[in-house]
Amino acid sequence: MLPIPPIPPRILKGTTQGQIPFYDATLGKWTPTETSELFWDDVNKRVKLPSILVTETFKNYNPDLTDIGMEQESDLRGYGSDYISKKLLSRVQIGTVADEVEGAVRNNAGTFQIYLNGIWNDIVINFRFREDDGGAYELEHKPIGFDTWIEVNSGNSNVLDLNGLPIIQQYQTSIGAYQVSLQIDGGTFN
Amino acid sequence: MIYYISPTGDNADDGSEANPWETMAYAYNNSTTGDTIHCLAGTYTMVNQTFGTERTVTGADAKTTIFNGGGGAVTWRTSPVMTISNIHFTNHAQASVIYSVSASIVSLSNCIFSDFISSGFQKPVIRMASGSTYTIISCLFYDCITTYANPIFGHSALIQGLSSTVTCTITNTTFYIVYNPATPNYAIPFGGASVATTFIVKNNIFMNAGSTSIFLTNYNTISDDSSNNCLYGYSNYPTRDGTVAEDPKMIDPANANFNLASDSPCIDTGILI
Repeated sequence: MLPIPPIPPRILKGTTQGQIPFYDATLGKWTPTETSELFWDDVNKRVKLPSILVTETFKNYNPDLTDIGMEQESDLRGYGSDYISKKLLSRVQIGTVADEVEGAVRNNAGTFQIYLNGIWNDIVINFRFREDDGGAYELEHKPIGFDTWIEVNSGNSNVLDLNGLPIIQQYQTSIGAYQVSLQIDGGTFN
Repeated sequence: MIYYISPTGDNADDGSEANPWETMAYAYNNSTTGDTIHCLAGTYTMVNQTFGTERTVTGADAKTTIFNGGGGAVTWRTSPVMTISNIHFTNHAQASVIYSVSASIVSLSNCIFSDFISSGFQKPVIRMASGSTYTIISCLFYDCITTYANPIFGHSALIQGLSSTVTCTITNTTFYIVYNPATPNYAIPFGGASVATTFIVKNNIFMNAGSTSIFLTNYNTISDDSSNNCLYGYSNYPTRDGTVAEDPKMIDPANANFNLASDSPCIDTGILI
C-alpha cells in the first residue's frame, strides 16, 4: 500500500499577533497579512493601519464620531467638499488674491478687502461707533500706531488735560500739560 | 464699587457721594480690590498710606482736590495695579510722594506735584520699583527741588526708576524748575538709579528757568519712540524728532500759570499719542 502523501495546508500559519488572513490567488492559499500593513488590534477591537502612506480618503476615520447611515461626510462635521462650518481655524492667514465671488476676502498689498456688490471694498479698521459718557453717539478713530481714540467729527480725543481740554484737538496736539483752546480765525475784516 | 471721601466727611457714614467718608485710610480699609475711591473737592491732610491691593484713586480735578503733606515725609505706597488722577499733591519733604515698593503698573494722569524738597539718597517725587511700568500723562511738576550731593544715577531726579526693568512713559507733562548752581538744587526730571531705566517721553515741556543749563537726565535710556519734547535750559538730550529747543513761552510759570501763550512754539507741534 502506497503511503499517502501529506496534504499541503490551505492556510499558511501566522507568525505575529494580529495578522489577518486574506486569499492569495497566486499561491492559492489563505495568507496572513503583514502587520506593517494591516492588522487586528485585539486590545481596542478594531482593524488598524500602521504608519503607512495613506493615499485615499478614509470615510469614518474616527470611530468615536460615527454618523448613522452609510454617508459619513455630513457637512456640519466640517469636512464637506465645499465648505467648512462651525470649526475653529487657527494660525490662518488671508492671502493676497481671492476669487471674485460675493463674500470673498483678501489682503491686497496690506489693505484688507471684501468682495461685495461686484467690487473689492476696503475694510476700514481702527474705527468704532459708541455712546459717549454724555449719551451722545460718536464715531471714533484711533490712528494706526497710536493709543488715543479721537472723535472723527471734532478731531478731539477722549483724554483730557489739566485744563479739561482734549489733549488732541482737530487731530493736533500741543506740547506740555496745558492745551490751548481752539482759536476761531474769522479772516480779515474789510 | 465707587466710594467717596471728603475733608468734611465722616467715617461713620456710608461712603456714598451724598455721605462720604473722611479719610483715605478708612476708605481703603473698607473697600476691596478694583474699587474706586473718589476724593471730592477739598484740601486733605495727607498721611502715609499703603495700598496693598488694586485701587483707583481719583479727585474732582487737580485744581480743587488737594492732598497736603504738611511739609513732612508722607508717602502713598502703590498697589500692584493703581490708577491715580485729578489730584494735586503738595508740600512734601524728604520722602517720595508716590512709591512703588515692588513691581507695579501705575497710571498717573492729570495730577500736579508741587512744593517738594528732598536732600536724601533716592528720594524722588515718584519712585518706581524694579519691574514696574508707569504711565504719566498730562501732569505738572513745579517748585520741586532735589539737593542730593551727587546728581548722577538719577538720585536727584523727580521721577526715578530703580532698575533696567522699569519702563516709564511720560506724555504731555510739564516740568518747571529753576536750577540754582549755588545751592545747588537739581530736580532732574527723570533718571535711573545705578542702572538704566527706559523712558518714553513725548510732548513734554522740560523747562529750567535757571541761568545755568543742566543735564536733562542721567543714567537711563530714552527710547527711540520718544519725540516732540520742548527742552529749555537743559542739555544732553539725544537727537529725536520734533524737538523744540526754545522757550516754550508759558504765560507766567513763576506764578504757577503754565498755560501756553499764543505765540508758543509748543502749540500744535506735538505728536498724536
